[in-house]
Amino acid sequence: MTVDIPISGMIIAYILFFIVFFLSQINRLEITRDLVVSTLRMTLQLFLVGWVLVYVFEWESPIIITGIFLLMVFFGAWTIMERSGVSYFQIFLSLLCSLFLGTGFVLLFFLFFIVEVTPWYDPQFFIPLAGMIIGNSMNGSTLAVERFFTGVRDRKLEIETKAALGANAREASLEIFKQSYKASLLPTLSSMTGMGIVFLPGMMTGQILGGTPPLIAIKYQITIMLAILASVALSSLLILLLERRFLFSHLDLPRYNLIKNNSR
Amino acid sequence: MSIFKMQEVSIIIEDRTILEKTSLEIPPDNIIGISGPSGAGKTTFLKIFNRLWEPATGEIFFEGKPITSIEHTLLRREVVLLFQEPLLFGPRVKDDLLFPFSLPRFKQNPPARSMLEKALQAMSLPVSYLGKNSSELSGGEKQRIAIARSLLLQPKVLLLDEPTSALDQELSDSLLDCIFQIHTPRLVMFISHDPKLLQQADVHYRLQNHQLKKGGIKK
Repeated sequence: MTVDIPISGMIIAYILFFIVFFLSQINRLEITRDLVVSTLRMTLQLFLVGWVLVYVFEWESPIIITGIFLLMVFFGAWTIMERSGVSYFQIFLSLLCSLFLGTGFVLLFFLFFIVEVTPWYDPQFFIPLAGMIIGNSMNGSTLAVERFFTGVRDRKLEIETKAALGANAREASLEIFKQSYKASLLPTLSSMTGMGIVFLPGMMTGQILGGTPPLIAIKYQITIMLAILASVALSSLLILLLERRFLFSHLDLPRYNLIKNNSR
Repeated sequence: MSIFKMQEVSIIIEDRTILEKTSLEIPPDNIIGISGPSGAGKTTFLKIFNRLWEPATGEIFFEGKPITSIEHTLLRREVVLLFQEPLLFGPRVKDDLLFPFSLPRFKQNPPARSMLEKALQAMSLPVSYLGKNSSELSGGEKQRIAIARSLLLQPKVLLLDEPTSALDQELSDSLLDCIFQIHTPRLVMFISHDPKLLQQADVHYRLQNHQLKKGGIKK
């Protein structure tokens, strides 16, 4: 049974926002603008996506669903590039490729073999799952891209010293690669570790509030967490491989002009 | 036959000319000292011999073959360059000495423990240092380990960038002898401002105003 929230309830919810707002004002914490902008954006974006989803759910077209997936991947790749500060067209293309392959594979695997939805493009499953998988992969990939870039830039001497002893790009940047990959997985791993004890995950809470029995909700949560882990790992690994290819020359040395021009 | 032959080689770093169309033949079994003012591009000059830097023009030959025809990671194990700032990877000194042999592509057997001990002793370090944590070493000790690490590869050419910068006077004066106790490369080329070390070179070049000028030959 789904319990709807009445308009009055929605308005009352904003009382919580105003408590934060006034507390910040009284204590002159200078965060008013961020508070207002973020709350307004969240409200508008969710209403907008709600409207869009109403129509998408009615259409149930594989072309439209695939189009939405591609759009999500495109904006995901763009956001990673912006947030990581590594702004190169080749990096954007690499991100598109790694995010598309990493999330696409896991998403289809989940739909075909885990929940076995027919048709696979059922928007009720596809859209929320794609959102969660792409969102998490985006966060992981941002960390991977940023860490590897700053690692190569800041540890130039280490790379050159190893190269001078015969190491190729893979061997010379192995430590940086491992650390970047680990960093990309850390948020997912720590959220998995705390799940159920420290907090109840958002999706599971949503399902339970929506009337799903807790034992079904945890099955969804467990499988989706495994899917998220796989897609974060896959897309981060792919982007790291492509980024390494881009940042190193044919002589297995950092491409200094790229690293220098794009310091953050 | 010369070990290195430079043909009309120019080096340019970001529109700044370091070396202009220079041709030079470097015979084997030599010690070459290079000096020059700071910022003249001496380190970059050393880098062109193992392709850590590409010359803007010209060609370099190693034992008669153009260096561009030799796989660059293989070349770098035959022509080893040691940077001024020694960097150890750890965790222990032994791991550092064996790092070049940990790269599986080369299928090169690591030196025996007795060889590692000999290398440490040649560098005036106790054998017990093999188990020491690399991060606990002083600058001078790191430099000596880095030199030993390069020599264990038994390179044909050893290129050294300011190798005595962190060493005490006594060791600086005997550095070349210490090196030859571990391995004798066919060519040692070093950058230094240390007059005593430069005096030990067979040939001394000065890199200045985009030119490489012969400074003197040991009598």
